[in-house]
Amino acid sequence: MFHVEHPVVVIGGGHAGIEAAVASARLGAPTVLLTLDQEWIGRMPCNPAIGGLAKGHLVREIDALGGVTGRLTDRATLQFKRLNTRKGLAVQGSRAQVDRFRYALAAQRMIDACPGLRVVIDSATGILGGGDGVSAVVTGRHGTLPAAAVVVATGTFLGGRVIVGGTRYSAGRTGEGATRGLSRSLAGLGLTLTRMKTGTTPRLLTSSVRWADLPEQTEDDPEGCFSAFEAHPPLDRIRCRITYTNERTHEVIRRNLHRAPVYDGTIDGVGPRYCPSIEDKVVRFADRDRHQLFLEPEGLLSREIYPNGLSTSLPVAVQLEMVHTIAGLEEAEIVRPGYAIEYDFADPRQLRPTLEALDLPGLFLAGQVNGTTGYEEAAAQGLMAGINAACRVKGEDAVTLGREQAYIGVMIDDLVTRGTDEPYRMFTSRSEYRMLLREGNADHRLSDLGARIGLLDPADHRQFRERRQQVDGALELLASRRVRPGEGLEGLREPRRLDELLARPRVTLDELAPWIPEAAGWPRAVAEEVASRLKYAGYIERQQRQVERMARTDGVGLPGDLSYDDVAGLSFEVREKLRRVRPDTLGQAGRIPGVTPAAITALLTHLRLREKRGIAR
Amino acid sequence: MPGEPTDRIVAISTAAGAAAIGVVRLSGPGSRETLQTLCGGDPGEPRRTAVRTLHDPDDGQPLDQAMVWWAPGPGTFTGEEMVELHGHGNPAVLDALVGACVRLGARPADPGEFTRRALLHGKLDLAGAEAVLAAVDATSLAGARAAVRVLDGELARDLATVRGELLGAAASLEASIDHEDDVGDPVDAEMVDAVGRAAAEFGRLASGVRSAGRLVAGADVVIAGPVNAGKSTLLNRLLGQERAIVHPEPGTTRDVVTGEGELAGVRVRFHDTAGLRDGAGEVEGEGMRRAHALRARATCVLFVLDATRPDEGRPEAGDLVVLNKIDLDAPQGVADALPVSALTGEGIEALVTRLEALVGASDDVAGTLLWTQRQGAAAGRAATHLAEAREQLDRGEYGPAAAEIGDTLRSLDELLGIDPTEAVLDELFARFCVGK
Repeated sequence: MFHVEHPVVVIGGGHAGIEAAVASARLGAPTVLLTLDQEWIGRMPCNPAIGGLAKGHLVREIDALGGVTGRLTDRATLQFKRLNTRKGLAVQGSRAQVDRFRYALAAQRMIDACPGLRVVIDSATGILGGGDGVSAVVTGRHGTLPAAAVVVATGTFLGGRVIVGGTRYSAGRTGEGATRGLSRSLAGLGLTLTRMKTGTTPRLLTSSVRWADLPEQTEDDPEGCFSAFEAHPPLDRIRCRITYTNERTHEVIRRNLHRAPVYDGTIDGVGPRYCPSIEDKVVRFADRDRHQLFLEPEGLLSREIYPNGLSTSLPVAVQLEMVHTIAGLEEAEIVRPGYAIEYDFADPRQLRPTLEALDLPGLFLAGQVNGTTGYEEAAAQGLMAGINAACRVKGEDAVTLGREQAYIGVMIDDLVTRGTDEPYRMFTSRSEYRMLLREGNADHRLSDLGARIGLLDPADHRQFRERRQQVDGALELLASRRVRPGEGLEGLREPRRLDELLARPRVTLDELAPWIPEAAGWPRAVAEEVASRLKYAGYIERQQRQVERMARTDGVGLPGDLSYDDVAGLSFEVREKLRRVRPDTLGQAGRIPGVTPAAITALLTHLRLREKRGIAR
Repeated sequence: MPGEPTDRIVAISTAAGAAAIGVVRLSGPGSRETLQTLCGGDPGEPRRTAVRTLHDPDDGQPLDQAMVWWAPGPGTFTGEEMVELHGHGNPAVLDALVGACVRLGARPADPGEFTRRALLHGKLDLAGAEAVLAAVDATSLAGARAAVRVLDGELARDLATVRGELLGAAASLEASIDHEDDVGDPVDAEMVDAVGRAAAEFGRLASGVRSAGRLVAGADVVIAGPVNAGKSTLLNRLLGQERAIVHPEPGTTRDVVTGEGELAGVRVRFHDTAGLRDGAGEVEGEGMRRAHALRARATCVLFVLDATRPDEGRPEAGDLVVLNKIDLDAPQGVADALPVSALTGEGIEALVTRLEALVGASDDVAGTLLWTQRQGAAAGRAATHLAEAREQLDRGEYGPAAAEIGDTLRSLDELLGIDPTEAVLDELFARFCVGK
């Protein structure tokens, strides 16, 4: 079936690499995962948490398609929280604090147990390829590995450079060759690389923190988990603590600002607006006298605390002085200092919606190398790149997700259509169909697809289909029963069906329990899906109509041989933009910033003329 | 046919029929050369009018003496090289000019094609394109002026302010949804207020649409009432001319008779309808059915009663009741009815004043600049969405609230033509005549 032993090579064992490698191998394409160190597979170099608003949606979507991030998280969860509980079911999300050591171990075990997947401990120093596509990956010690598809999931390691105060060093521990070589190789293959930066916090020694003095952040959803298919025995629970920076902290930062790499000109990469360093926060929100910090244990047995909110790249001595001004941290010891890291990323507008390079078939890029930030964003891209790498070597049709289908689709469309000039983080507001893309209905949106492409295990798919039947059955039951005035429901003037009542704002299934005792037996996922569908029915329907409208332009394909010079009425700027992105559809063209409705009309007119001429011939 | 539009379009831009002046317009590459050929030489300076004798390109015979004008793109209406020939308004002459242009390589323009090209070249936004249509179709001077104000972008500027405020509110709502930890929640009162203010503004704009529409479309006044109450006489009195047949035999007006006049700067169509009575014949019955249909879309209804038999008619709520024939008898008073004599003219001036107030657009309305059905509907939708958004915020349902505001912004963009869907474009251009 395949010309080479392992037609798919995945470079990198982070969150993108794991999903890519497992997906590709499970879809039947023998796969090599190249990593610099076995121990680095599934590491969490930043905060020990998975999920969050919009990020939780990504994890559920990965799970619904048959990916692994949700399951790995559930094996390492120490605390599960539901966010936005006061803002309505439609915008809620989940986050898990995890034991990062257990997470990495779970990932390594899963990879070891995955048939068709082989781990090679080595560096990738180059990628070979030409007009027909990629042909091989050059490694440091294992020679050249022939490949029909390569997934680059190198995170911050491409040209990575760590900066702490005045000190800086290459991020690739095995030396310059590991990271510079691959950057040069990608540039040689025609990809444009630019710089981005991100940072992390210092880690504190657990025993040096006055833990008991600080208020707790308690768990609010101990039953919660990410995977819709697998239950795990719960681990022991942890509690995070909350503390705040203060004026003295800010004073230390202001006094040393000239020593911060971002402000002294050492770093010119663009950093994330959404996850700023503490020095950025002090400068940008000068009027705030304190910033909240969450003290998160890195694991059950860990001796380290992750002070969430204290990302910094100031010199180590300044970090220590700053930490000591904070309540509970007066005597804290820094185990590992915080740092900024600058790295190469490839403008994602050089990719197709499959995450394959426009100009080099078989080369896929996923994760931070595409300019995103976050484990969840990386994992979601890795999954899609892995699926498409396997599809390519098997000669099957590519798989892409629409904006109306998944946050994964929103993210990838944003990246390949609009590009990004700062680290891209998922937000629910990036979706125009938030009422359709709820965290709770990820399986309803994607599990049929996951099963069809062969990634979601048939047993899991069966489990989903049963759940779907339960939802349908519950909706029918609610529609078949009425409550009459005088039966104990306050304010009821005429008989009402239960589904009509549940659709009302603030009415819960619990209140209706006397009329629907069966609901007590419904799993939470079923009960919530039923309530969401009824309460948001009007919005769901409206957004579905908007989707249908969008489908009219997204359904118009732009032929690969279309020359924008031939289209009458396009400005030079619009032509340049279209040439750079090379959109697949008229809809995608319309989402490119600066491409005007007038230009879309011109494109459509041109396509119709082409059709007419085609028919005339 | 690769590259920029290589074809040149031509059309008569003025209304069909004989007139003092008729204009033929050309747009597209080579328009100036066409003019040069027709002139048999120098077409004059760009953007300067010149008087030239235009000749048939085949036999050299003079076609017309015309004022001619040309300008290079992109500084023209369509953004392309353009020529205008202001000839004598004889349809035969104008047709001959167009024919000559076609023989020189121009193509007869499709309906709305000049405006469509302007839109393609980014010379107009959608609201502007509609304004062109409105300016040409306007039935009164005030309507035409309002249309010109849209062409100047006044509508866009007014709405941009509301849009800006709404975007601010949307941004803080989105921040509250997406950053649980950083931003204080629940949403701040200022945002809720901003949503409320925007809702009120759109409500005001939407309610202004119907009467503002009259500036362009004109108003319809239906004259109704029992048979032989003197409706036709009243119509003739209002129009000052013998439009309807006036006859004392009941049921003379068996169909709808329409006459046009102007009140308060608005073009008004008066519709004299068949009198209402039982046992009418087939033809008359049809007239009465039409009268009912007209009532439904009328700006106002004048219900005419006979002062000698005031009990014979049943005006509907909202009708302007007129008590006619006060010259005949000591008139019996009818509450809220305007006493007039269509025959002598007594009380007619007061009636006209009342009518002017009903059909005329208020200054406020005239200033809103919104008039097409599409624009009115978009403003109405925006108001509804925002009212709902406020309720959802009160209920603690941020997702639906954000969806409502998102829909509002989309309605607004549609109003401004920032994101016109194909359907909107098709609907718009289907209404254009050739040459606009």
